[in-house]
Amino acid sequence: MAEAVPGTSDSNAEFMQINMGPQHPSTHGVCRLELAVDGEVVLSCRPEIGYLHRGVEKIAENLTVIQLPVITDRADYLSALNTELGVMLAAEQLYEVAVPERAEYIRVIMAELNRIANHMMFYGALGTDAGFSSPFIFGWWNREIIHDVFEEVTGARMLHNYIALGGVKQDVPANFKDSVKKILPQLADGLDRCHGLLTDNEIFVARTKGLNPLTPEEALRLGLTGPSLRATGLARDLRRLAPYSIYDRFEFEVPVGTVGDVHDRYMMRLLEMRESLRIIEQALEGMPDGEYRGEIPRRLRYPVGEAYSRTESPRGELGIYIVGDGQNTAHRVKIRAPAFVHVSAMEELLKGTYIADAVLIFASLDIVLGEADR
Amino acid sequence: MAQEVAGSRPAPTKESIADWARATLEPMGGTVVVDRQFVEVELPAEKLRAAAHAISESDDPEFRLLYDISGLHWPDDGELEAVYHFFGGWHAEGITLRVRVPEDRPLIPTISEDWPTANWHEREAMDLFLFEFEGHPYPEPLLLEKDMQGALLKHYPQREAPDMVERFKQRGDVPFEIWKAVRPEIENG
Repeated sequence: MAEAVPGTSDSNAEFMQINMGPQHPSTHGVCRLELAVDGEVVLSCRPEIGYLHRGVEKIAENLTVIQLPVITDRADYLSALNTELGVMLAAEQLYEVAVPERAEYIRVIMAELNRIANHMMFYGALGTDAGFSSPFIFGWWNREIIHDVFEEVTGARMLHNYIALGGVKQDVPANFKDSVKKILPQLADGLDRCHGLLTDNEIFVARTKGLNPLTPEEALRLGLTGPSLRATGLARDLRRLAPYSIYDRFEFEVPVGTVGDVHDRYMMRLLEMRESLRIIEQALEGMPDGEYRGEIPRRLRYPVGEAYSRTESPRGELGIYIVGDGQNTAHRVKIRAPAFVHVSAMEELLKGTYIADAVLIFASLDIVLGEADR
Repeated sequence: MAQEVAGSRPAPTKESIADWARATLEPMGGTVVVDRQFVEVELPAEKLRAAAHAISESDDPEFRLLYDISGLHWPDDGELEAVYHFFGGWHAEGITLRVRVPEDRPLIPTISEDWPTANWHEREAMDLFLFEFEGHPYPEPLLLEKDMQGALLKHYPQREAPDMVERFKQRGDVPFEIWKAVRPEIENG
């Protein structure tokens, strides 16, 4: 007789244990899912993380606030600018530094571009996990356009170290508005192609519709935030609910799903990209001339005190908690990573699903393990 | 299904949360602090579970998200502190619980019964700060290996690389002899 299924009291159940990962292509990094399966049905799942742990929080405790983005970039490497924004919002709150108008607009444009780049990656990865190979190329193509702009502005394609205390590291190049205006229609067009390729694809819809539905209460109980939570029908977007930076100045919709299944989670990302394009358009219109970086204190000792910033990163709600104790380096930098909570939710989400669907559900939460492990 | 907009329910203010905390959590032995970013409640460790339960049960104000459990090490006081950030699901206001325990006996009751997400946050805090969460359903290392526990304590060196040969020798799961056979060069350090 087989031993009891882990996590259940049913000692009669027969099961087989399957190791998914850590090098499985669909684990979006290095994550191991220990699945107990009965035939094709998952009885229980135990995610194991830590393969990508680089001690980001420990290293951050030994860096000054100027050096801080260097390591926090590497936590969520697919949306580094969004993490930088969160980190700097917390640091600015602690240092009581004001940010000039122009810098706020640059930050918003860059963060929203990064959101699109991230969602394009999600689109490609989900498509691949659903068994389509073209979406990855389409997503990558659009992401590439954005990365070219990033390269012009920050000098780097993925890990930018651009958003800095009191503004941004350097002003945008003179042709910045033109180059962003040039790619906006390209991205809108690319988004339409993405929709055309997957959204109404019969096979994709059959695979994802009705898969793993969730109610808002359930999703909150599992700690889901961001697009995965909005897919359940709860319009919780921190850019709207607790606006940070200058997000209260822009008109944009918060896309909301209905049943919270995998297809809804997919749709949220695609609809959100359209809204991001709208925000970028408005921000380009409103971007004033002027300083790109405000006055920062000459001695950058962390003030005694704490600050907590919450931002809407592409993956979910990112919390940055900085505790200062009067030294050059922070006493504690805590990154509340949405992906960390989302991986832990897999334990519940995968129960009773098929192995083939496990891959899709995992992909639908848009997990980056670099952020989960830190 | 009807769509619900976050913020459509009347959101509590910081004052109303402070009033609620004074009425509910202060009788449990908590001290409410209001002049910080969020309403904060300092608690003795043994009251934590009751307080977390009260927060999870409360409907007005409601708190549905446990954002994180962050450890803090205060070597001068010889204390560890656990900071719990709770936020509303339908609003953006929050409440923070703080628990201080002595460094050499960092016992804190688990709150993973009321807050399923606390399971991993506690395991992480266990790894990084050597907290002991009493009654945790699965108190196994999550991020760090067994011989690297407590990496975020202030006296844990950041730059000093662990002695790999010593680590292999101490590892219980793989005999040192096997490591030597696989990687002969480690014998020489």
